[in-house]
Amino acid sequence: MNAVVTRLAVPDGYAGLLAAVLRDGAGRGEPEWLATRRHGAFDRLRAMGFPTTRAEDWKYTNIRSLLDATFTLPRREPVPEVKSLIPHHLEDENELIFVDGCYAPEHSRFEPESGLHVVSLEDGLRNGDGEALRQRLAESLPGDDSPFVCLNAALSGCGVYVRVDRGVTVSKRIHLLFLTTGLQPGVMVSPRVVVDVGAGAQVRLAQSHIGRSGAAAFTNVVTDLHVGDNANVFYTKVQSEAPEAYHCSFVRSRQAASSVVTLLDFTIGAKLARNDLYAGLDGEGAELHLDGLYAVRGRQLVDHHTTVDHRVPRGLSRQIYKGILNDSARVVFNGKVLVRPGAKLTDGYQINQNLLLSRSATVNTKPQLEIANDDVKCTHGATIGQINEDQVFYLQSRGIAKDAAVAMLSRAFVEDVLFLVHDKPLQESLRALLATYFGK
Amino acid sequence: MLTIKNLHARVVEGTPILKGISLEVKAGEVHAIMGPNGSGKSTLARIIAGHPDYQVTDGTIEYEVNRRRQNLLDLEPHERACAGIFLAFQYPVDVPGVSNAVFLRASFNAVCRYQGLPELDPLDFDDLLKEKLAMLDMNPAYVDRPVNVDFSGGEKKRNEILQMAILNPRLAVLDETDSGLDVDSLKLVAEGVNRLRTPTNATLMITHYERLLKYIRPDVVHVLDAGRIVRTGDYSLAEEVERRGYDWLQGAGAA
Repeated sequence: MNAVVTRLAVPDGYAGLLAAVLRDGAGRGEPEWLATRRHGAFDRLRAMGFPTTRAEDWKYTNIRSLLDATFTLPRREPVPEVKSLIPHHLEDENELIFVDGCYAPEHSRFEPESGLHVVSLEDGLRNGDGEALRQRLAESLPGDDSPFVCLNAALSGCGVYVRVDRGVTVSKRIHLLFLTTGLQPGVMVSPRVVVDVGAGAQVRLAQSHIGRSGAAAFTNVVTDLHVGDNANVFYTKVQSEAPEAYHCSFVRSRQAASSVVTLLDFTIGAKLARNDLYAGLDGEGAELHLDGLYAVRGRQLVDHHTTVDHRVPRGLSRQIYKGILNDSARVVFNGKVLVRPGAKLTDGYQINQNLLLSRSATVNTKPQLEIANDDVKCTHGATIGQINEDQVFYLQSRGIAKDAAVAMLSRAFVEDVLFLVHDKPLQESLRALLATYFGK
Repeated sequence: MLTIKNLHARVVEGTPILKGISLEVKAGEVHAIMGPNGSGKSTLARIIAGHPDYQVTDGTIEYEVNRRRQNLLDLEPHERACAGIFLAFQYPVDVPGVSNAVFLRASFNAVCRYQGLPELDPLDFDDLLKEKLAMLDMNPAYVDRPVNVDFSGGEKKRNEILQMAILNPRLAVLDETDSGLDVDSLKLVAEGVNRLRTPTNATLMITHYERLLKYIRPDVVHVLDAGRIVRTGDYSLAEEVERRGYDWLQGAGAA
């Protein structure tokens, strides 16, 4: 009898990457506990291995080609110019720029604001934020048992720690830009973003991953949002990696009572992208708006796995994921909404809608509700549709060529998600990025 | 301007609908095509606009403007629109997510590009739009709403005429523009169409009833039955149809 292979061994090269990270860390005076943490995460990863498509959560996403590729760690080399890599430069924001996995203070710009603390992970571990950061990194969070979160914990070299004091409204958007230049082929970048938002505070964050074509990089990022009582957080993730890149992302958000979190996951790049997201409504009356927008073509694969976890009463969640697929692109949407025992008066809504522009594109969508008590209001659904031929002809009959008509209708299809982005300059930059999908 | 000869057409791979239609529309003329349900009136309108559901199996459609003669059937639907043909839809299509303003400007500029004319920027286009809205006595709030979404029947038809006013076509084909309109809306739409008439453009009206023709007087009236033109006359033919119905004309084309 043949045993079913459900796990893939951690590639041999990864142990070498860990050794190099530990050496580098020791040289830069990384604290002892961090090295221990790296070892622990790597041991857990080795024990569990990477999933095959036999694993339920990886049914449609085969990562063998990712594991077969050889990756190198970021080299700290000065890069003369990065502006050309940033397609839609946003004025009036604080930008922290990372080039090929290394923080580049010379390209970043940051105007201090009172009550706002932003440090690169390596600085944060050395200076006064070290203890708070250590505590945050030591907390166990859902997703800790994911192989890619373990890999990130073992290898993470760059990252950001953002802390907003209680009651502070941060005026400027904070934009974390992770750029892949292609100067260092096969680079594996493992950023860790930790965000602490105090009670009653308000902040806008954007996290962009942008790659130049030709950069077969692997980004494996983990973002943790800790949101205090009554706080208000807008977080937008933009993934526009190179067409040959791999991208794994895990966003974990935990919200305290009466907080409002608005998350947008925008995906247009990478060959293979896996977006895991966990949103825990831990405090009563927390409100979550979770939106996704994706536009893929060629042989791109995007796999969304989201969990919205209503743990206590009176939570509200609204999830809208919409996307456009062309050519042989594939999309997976697996969206779980959990309503825990006792989480009464939960109000949950989830929808996934897909527009197929080609007969060879594929969507596997699975919205799931797991409700463990009465007295809740939850609805969900999914649609997969094609462009409406009557609409195409109507636009054609007004002088608009067929491909332009299809582009206009496709953009209209996702327009309601863009419309939900209240930050207008950001909305415009996303619209411009989406336009590149239809560009010739 | 428009010369149709012996046109035969069917729904793609379906049964024949048009069985040999010939007609000629000259610049400055208004023609009406009347006929009972299922006679092929709307099919003719859609074929002129290039609807992909239909297949021409025989015959020709020639279109001539500015002394340039083209085989219409060789042109894509958007090329026909850019060359000056406008179809006012019997059932205008909803386009959620696209505002009227964006749609109208994209349409106007596509036609300008095709004709080698300069495009209008949003501000200049806005002025043009305001002028046409005023001409058709339309509420400016129209333009920010998504195209035809939640429009009443009358609003949709007026929106068609607004598009026509913006694009300023040489040949307007109005497909049952009167259907579903109350008398007031009908008058407004007809007034709009009449204001757009010039000696260099032409109108082809498809209608079941004579009532639209009271407001837009045709020079020529054709009666279509079972895919053929069974009679052609002047306005008095429409009045006769109004009085006697279509029965007395049916079968006449086969003779």
